[in-house]
Amino acid sequence: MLSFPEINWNILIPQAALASAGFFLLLVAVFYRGPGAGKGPARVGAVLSLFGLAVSACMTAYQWESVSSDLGGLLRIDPFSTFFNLLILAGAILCVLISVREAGGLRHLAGEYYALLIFATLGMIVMVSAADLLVVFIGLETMSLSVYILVGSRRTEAAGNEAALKYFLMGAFASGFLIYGIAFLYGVTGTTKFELLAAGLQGNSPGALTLTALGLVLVGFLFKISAVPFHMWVPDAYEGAPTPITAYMAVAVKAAAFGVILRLLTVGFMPLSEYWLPVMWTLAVATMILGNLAAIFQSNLKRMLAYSSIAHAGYILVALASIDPNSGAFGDDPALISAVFYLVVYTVMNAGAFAVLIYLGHLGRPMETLEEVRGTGFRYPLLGAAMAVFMFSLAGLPPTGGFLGKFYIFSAAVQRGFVGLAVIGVLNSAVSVYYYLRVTVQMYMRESEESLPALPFSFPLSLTLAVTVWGVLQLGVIPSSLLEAAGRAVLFLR
Amino acid sequence: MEIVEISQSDILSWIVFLPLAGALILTLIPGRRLALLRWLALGITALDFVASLSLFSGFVPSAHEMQFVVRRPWIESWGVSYHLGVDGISLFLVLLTAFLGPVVVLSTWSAITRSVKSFMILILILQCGMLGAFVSLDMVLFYIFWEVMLLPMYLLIGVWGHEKRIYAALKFILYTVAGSLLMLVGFIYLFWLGSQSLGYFTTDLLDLYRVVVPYHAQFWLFLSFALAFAIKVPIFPFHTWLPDAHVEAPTAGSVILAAVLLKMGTYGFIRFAMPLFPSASEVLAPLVMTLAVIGIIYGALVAMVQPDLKKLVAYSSVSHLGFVILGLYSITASGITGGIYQMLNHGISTGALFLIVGILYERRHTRLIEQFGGLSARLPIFAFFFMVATLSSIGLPGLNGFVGEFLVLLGLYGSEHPGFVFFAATGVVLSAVYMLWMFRRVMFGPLTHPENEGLRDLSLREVLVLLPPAVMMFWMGLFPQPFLERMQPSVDYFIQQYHRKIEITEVGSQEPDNLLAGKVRFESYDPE
Repeated sequence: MLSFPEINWNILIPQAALASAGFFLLLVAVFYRGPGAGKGPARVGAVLSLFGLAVSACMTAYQWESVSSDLGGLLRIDPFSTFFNLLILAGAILCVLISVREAGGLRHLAGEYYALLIFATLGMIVMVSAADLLVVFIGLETMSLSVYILVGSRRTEAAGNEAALKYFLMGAFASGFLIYGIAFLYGVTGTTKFELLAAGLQGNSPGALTLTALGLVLVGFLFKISAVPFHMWVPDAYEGAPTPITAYMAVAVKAAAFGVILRLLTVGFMPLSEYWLPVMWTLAVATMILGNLAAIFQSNLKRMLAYSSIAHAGYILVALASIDPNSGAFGDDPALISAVFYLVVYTVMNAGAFAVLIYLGHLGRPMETLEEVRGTGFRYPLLGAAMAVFMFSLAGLPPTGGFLGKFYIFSAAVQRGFVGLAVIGVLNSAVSVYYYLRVTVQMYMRESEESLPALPFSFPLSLTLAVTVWGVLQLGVIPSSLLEAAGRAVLFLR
Repeated sequence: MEIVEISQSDILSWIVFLPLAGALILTLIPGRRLALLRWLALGITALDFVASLSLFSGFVPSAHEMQFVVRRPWIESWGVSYHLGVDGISLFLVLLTAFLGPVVVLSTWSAITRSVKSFMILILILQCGMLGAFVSLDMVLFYIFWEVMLLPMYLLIGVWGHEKRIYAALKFILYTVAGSLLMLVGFIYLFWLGSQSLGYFTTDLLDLYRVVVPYHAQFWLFLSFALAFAIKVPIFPFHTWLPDAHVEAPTAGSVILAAVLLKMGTYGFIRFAMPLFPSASEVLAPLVMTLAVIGIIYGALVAMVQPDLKKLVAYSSVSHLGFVILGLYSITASGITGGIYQMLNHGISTGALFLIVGILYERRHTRLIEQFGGLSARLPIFAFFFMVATLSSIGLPGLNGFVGEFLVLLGLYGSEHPGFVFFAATGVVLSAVYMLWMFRRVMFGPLTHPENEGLRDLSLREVLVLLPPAVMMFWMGLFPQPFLERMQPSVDYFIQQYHRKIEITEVGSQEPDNLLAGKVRFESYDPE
């Protein structure tokens, strides 16, 4: 006899809001084609999805204080998941804002574009609120499938198709690993719930099956955060995808995957910490070094940012490697706080950098390589200044959020006694200064070969840039409130 | 003293952030209103200098403590505070920076015609960063200001520089960032040691002074800090970025770079590397001093054979800053005072020399010595200023350079390593050789190049640019007392603390655990 658990619908309102927004967008896309299939559908889609995301974000923010689990312990709403939900929703909102022109180019497919974006976001917030590996998997697949399609949304472009196919094939393998790992875990412990997993893994020294399961599950997520050696798909997918989707992958997808990893490692896999901590250490070093070294040789900015996003995943892995398994309360663990803080900073500065690239794309000619952006710094002063701020922040120079983020992460590593790891990270930062500043070199110190026309004003992009520049500087100068929020969020891990 | 601190406690914030506020105002002015932009930038920097004079008058000469202290919590969970203050060591560096601001702005009137607005904004941000770095008493705050000055300088060199500007700009920033990031790791480690020893998180410099770091850790920490500062000074063999940066930078950039940014390195030694890790500093002193001596002689010899005026002055900086380091490492009152005095001298005289080279370059678009000769008859006013700056750089008695060099040599003689006096004195002789030889080739002899016949003498604006430094050269040479008496208490205190901390480290290092547990602590600095 199946008994349905009592469901507290209130805590599901954010998810419900997103789901209805997505379906509504699909319906609108069917019935409203707009006059002459111009930019109408794109504008309507943008407004509707912004509305849905905003409602969902407000409802999520409203849950900041609450801690509850529902659907028989499948979901867990606590400040940690609320924090990540808000981060993901903010990333999605930024992404919708920078997508307006891209979606306009899709003409009558704009509605579907936005619907997929919303569904992907829904998948993410399900992922980070999940308390059960199977729910995580459902969220992950909802997200991944939507993003695969979005990567290939320019159906007539070979690069986009190649990117989508590569991402899909590799992603399908990763999902396979993940579900395989979940199955093994179930075999060992008889459960897929995080908290029961921890109890099941406690005590006895783990057998080969447990470790295989741990490895397989980790592979599934490390793929999404583009850690070395699971990063092969990143450069091609980032370069081939439409730029707003690249931003979305770099920002929201990564934040969601890190959210799950943080919870999984600290709640479910804590008894196995002696096995995964060294793995994180190694992967952090490999990811930082490979990402930074490869980024030096890129002349395409999207590809450069792809490698840079690999490198930044490496920095966050430094924080994961510095988690203290013996600390009683995670609220005090600087490693977790620094990881969460860095993810926020990373989201803001990366979204901003991509927004600049998209804005430059409005000139009507490709603006993606270092040669193509020459001379834009003085021609478009505000845009140039914004890009400079993002590049300095990505390089970790003060007074930007990127600096404080790195400072916290390396502090956490040093406090755990990993001075060597911190030194490697810092040297990597020094390398990264070179390729980030090269962008400002091209923008400010070289002249464009052809004259640059005036740039048409775009409200959503300007808004995005204003918000992200403000965010980067605010996080670099007065970070206390975010640090407090991050501290409260990680308090609810374990 | 109490009254001074309370009544003017916010003056430092004003001095530091006035240029930044000015930069924000400048962003609102349309870029084509060149005159307005220039006058406004001049007005802001001049106002800032006037404000900084109140530091001089309000400074209590007999006190060794930090004065004009501002302290507010900032990032409380990490113990970071907004903590500013000056003592006798930093006071004159702040004044020097503020003094050169209007001079530099005025010197760009005709030299910078492209993107004037951005140029002035960057100069003002740079000014804010430099002033902030000199008055920060919190490590995080210092680090932020320290890096904030890099970016405008990088853009100044890269955008308004000469032919190889991009190479020079990247080389400059990569050298400096590599050094300062390693310092960051060192600082984080110190922060962690500090929290162990003190029992709370703090990045406050005065609190961190109280931490006695075990000897083996001091060694590595000192290396990480000293590397960052040595690159900035620059100490041989980390000097290779300097000639490139100087030669490619626009005149204003060279002046600021030489006059203030290089001082950041020597200031870092005396404010951070030496007092935080005195035992390691003591052990490594012969190494640092040897490198400084190599820098003095090598810089002088290379300067001698330079065909390019700007490169010559750049290498002379390497030589002069070796002097400063020797003075600081003598750990004697006169040596350190002389070292600080020499920082100011070098800022003024080398700044003036770069301005002079810039004035020649504007007229002839070349800096090669062989292109000149016999200019003194054509340009008498120019010749006067050039002569004064040259003699000041050499250290002629009656001018500022002499006081500093004399004190450094005196201090070295009384130090634990008196042997270095010999090499340092060689540097004095060599500097006379290359400077005077250069001066003769440029200014005297027959006028061989017909292009030089039509050269104009200085305009009123250019006289106004060169006059303040020239006045300071005489003033500091003839009346050093007001400067020295304000430095003296802080320097004496520094030396006393340095020796005491070495003793405590030696005692404590027999049981390093006691150090970390905070059982042995250096209590002389009271945080409140």
